[in-house]
Formats: sequence, C-alpha cells, structure tokens
Amino acid sequence: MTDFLLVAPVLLPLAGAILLVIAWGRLPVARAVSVTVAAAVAVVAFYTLFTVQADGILASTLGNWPAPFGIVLVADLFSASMVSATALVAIVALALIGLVQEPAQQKRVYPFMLFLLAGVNGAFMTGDLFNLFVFFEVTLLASYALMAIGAQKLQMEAAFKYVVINVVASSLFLVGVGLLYGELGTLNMAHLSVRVAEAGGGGVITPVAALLLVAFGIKAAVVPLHFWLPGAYVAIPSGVAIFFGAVLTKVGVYSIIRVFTLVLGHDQDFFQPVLLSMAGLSMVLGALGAVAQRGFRSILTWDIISQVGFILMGLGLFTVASVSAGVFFMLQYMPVKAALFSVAAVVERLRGARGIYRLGGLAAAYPFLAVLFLIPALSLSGAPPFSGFWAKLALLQSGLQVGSIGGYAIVAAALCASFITLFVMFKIWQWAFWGEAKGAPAAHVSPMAQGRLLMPIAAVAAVTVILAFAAGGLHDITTTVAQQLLDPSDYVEAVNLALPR
Amino acid sequence: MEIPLSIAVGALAGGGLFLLLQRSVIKMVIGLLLLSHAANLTIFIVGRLRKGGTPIVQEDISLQTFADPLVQALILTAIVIGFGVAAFLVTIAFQAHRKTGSDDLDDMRDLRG
Repeated sequence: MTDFLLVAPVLLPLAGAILLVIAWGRLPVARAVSVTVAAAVAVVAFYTLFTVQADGILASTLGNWPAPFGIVLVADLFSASMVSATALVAIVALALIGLVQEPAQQKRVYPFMLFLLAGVNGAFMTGDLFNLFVFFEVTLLASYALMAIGAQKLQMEAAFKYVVINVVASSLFLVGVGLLYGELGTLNMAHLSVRVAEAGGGGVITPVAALLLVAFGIKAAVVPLHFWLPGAYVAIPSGVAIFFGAVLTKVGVYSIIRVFTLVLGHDQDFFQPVLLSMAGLSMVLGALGAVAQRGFRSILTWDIISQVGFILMGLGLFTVASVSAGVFFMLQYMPVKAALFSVAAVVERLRGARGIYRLGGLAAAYPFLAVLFLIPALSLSGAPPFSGFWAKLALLQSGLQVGSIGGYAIVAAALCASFITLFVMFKIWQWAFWGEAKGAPAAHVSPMAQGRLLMPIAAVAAVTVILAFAAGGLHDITTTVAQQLLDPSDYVEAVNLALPR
Repeated sequence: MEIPLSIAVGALAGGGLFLLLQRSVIKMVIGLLLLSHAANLTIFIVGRLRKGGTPIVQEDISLQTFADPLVQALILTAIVIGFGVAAFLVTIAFQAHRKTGSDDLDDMRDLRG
C-alpha cells in the first residue's frame, strides 16, 4: 500500500500522458483523462498526507533495492502537502485549459501538462539527489515544449532564453551533485545527511552548497537570479500559465528548503545572511517590478518573485516557527496564485486583451469574476481574514522572535513588500475592473458558459477562504513539517539505511 | 590524469561561457553543449581515474583498484537528457531562422508583437 501511495503521484500522470500521446488529437478524451488523472492524484495525495500525519514518514525503495543503493521515494509531511497542493492546482488548470485555450493548442497542451505533473510530483517525492535532477529535467522538458506550443512569434525568443537559462542551471546542479558524490560517496539524501553530519561540513561541501543554491535559485526565480521569469511567463498560453505561475517556481523553492535543511543543514551560519538578503531583495524588488508593469499577467508574474522571497524568508531565519510560517505561506499561496492566473486567463478569453489599461468595466460586466479576483488579490497582499494574512502574520512574528538585526530588517522588507503588493492589486482592480469598458464591446457570454468558466476559479479561491477559518489546522501541519525538516532524524530513520559495515 | 582532465573541464566551461555570451543562436547552442560536456567530465573525474580493475567487489580486492562505475551511469543519464534538450534547442533555432532569415538573437526580438 505504501509503495502504491508513493509511486501513484508519478505513475498516474505518466500513464495518462502516454495514453494521450496514443490518442493524439481526440480532445474529449484528452479533457476527460487529464482532469480524471489530476483528481486521482489529488485523492492519493490527500490520503498520503493524512497517513503521514497519523503514522509518520513513509518511504518506498524502488525495485526493492535497499537504500542507499537504490532510489527511494519518501513522503514526509512536507512533500505530501506539496503534492496535495500541486494536485489541486493541476485540476483547476487542466479544467480551465479546455475552456480558455484554442482547440488546436489544447490537443498539444494536455499530454505535456501530464508529463509536467509527473515530473513535479517526482521532484517532490524523491529521496535521491540525482533522481531529483532527473525529475527536474522531466519537468523542464515538458515545460520547454509547453512554452513553445503554438510557435507564436513572441514565444520563440522566450522559449529559447528559457531553455538556455535552465540548461545552465541544470549544468550547475549536475556539477554540484557530482562533487557531493565524489566527496561523500552517496546520493541518497538521508545518507548524505548522515555523512555530512559525520564530516562536520567544511571541505568542498560549502562551495557545493553554493552551487546548488544558485542552480535552485535560478529555477525558483529569486533575486538576483529572477531576470528570466517575466519574459518567459508572459509568452506561455494563458491556461498553462495557471500551473506554471502557481507551481513551477515552487519546485525550485522546495529543493532549496529540502537541501538546505536535510542535506546541508550544517552551514546555517554561512547561508543565513545569504538566504535572508536574497529573500529581502526578492520581496521588495519583485513587488516594485510589478508596479511598473502594464499587462495583467506580467504584474502577476513579477509578484511571483516577491512571494518566493516570503517563502525563503521563512527558511532563512532557520527556526521552527519561521520555517513553519514559510511553508504555511507557500501552501496557501499556491491556490491563491492559481486563482489569480485563472482570472487573468478568463479575462484574456473574454476580452482578448492583456494590458490592464486596455481593459475596464469588468466588475460591471462580470460581477462574479470580480469577486473571484478580489478574494485572492486581498489574500495575496495579506489582508485579513484571508489565509495570506495568517501566513504573513506568522512570518512577521517569527522574524521578530529571532530578534537579530537580520530578523528586523527582513520584517521591514516584508511589510514594505506587502503594502506594495496591495497597491499593485488595487492598480489591477482600478484599471481592469472599474470604469468604462474599453475597446471592442465584449462578446456576449451566456450565464451557463460564464458559470463553467468561473467554477474552477471558485474552487481554488474557496481554499483561501476556508484556510482563513481553518488556519489552525494547517498551522499544526506546517509546525510538524518544520520540526521534521530541522531535525532530519525521523527522515533518516524512515529511509532505513541498510548501511554496509 | 586528473590534472589534464581538470584543465580540459576549465577550457570547456570557459569556451562554453564565451560562446553563450555571443548573439548568434547557433553559437549559443554550441556553448551550451560545451558547458554540459564540462559538467559531465567533472563527474567523470569525481569517480576517480583508475584503470585495469573490474568493478566487482570481492573479499580480496581493494576498493582502490577500480574507478567508481556509478558516476559513469550518472553521466550516461545526463548525456541522454542533454541530447534531447539540444535537439529541442536546434529546432527552435531553426524555426527562428526560417522566420527571420538570420541567427542573431536580437532579430528574434524583432519577432515580438
């Protein structure tokens, strides 16, 4: 049973993707299969989450090769909750792709979305550093293809640059993994954790950690490694952008958190200032970048950079409270971001315009859409009572508890960034939702069609409202996540190393 | 053998970076290939360069007599992945060339809008 639970989040999407490649071009099949697969992954992921919460960390050795020789898949509370959040976002993205994308694009999009889901889930579940690299590549190859789908003019440049920057990052990751293996003789993350603790750090381990930080930082789009993100995400098809915006950079953030707690937790003194300054810069510069943008989606994209900073702030402070707050922020933020990108996709579909100055009057024309924008937008900027408020409250509290200059500085940066985000969200509200409708009169959309477009968005937007009142439950989970992350002994025990003596 | 190979890694990485900074799309692709070769070669060195021993662990054989076979498997995986990515990049470069008639990255920018 454990084996099935751990393998299913990777195998189900993979099987679905292969099925869709065989049944190429049959849209009704593609729609049904992909949403069903995502829903099945969600069921498995939530079941795993509750199992892990009740019984502790699960691990499965693939092909029954004992760790550390074979590859292990591990579901601790962190990876299980990430897979659950990803599956939720995937359902919404896949459901909306069928409604907002051109049919000619859809038949290409669905298989690659499922490959992407398989890669992301694998990256979250794996307990092996080289296997993490492989799942990164699975994710990236699918995302390269998704970015170039449609082969529009704008996409060629964006896709080329996206591939180039990611290949460079992957090379750095590969060198880091290789050097770590050469120094410590293992790739299993639990085993690495034991070996690093025995060796006490030093030697090449710190430079290797820096290499990995740069590699993951590029994928997570942390300042100063964020430059590729805005150009790339604007060029992707609008339905695909829902999944990209909510999940893809989080794979990089997840890897930073995983590697810098489990594997390389020894070097906190060296990496704390680095991580905190990256986090602070990301928060403020990302938010400021969003102010300068005109496109609906490019504003949201710059905001991703800002939000990644908040998550890293939680890691950078390295306390149970702060890591818990960072993970809390990430988990509640994924559905929020998915809802915002969904609204952007639906607006693009309804009005055919991307720039907020060319929109207007959306609130009068589509009142429910406006509400579904307002809730996640307020949650994103941290307005009570939505989940974003509790996440930011926990982050600020943990920053103040640390009490050092770094702690106060990062809290100040977080407050600044939150206010700027609030301003940016109101900029979208003011130009796109208020005022007179601009441009060509909106095509009439029947209430039925509107309802179908809005239902998936309502589902993710509901998460932030539910979490507003159930913040305590999620907080309990993330506190356990932080304890498991900062004290890897449970993880190491679960992997059950059959060490040769 | 480690030292000449390390120098080769440096040369490959340096050359790769230099080509990456060019504006020509094809030069950038070649630069990326060199860069991934540098990464692969690094891992190869990490497995220790020893010849003549078979990587079969037996009672009376010292672990110092053979090179680590695992890294070679890692490199094989990395090469295959790199090959796929390179094929994709060349395809994009080809498409861009068909549309612009040049292989300058800045001409690709003109494709915008």
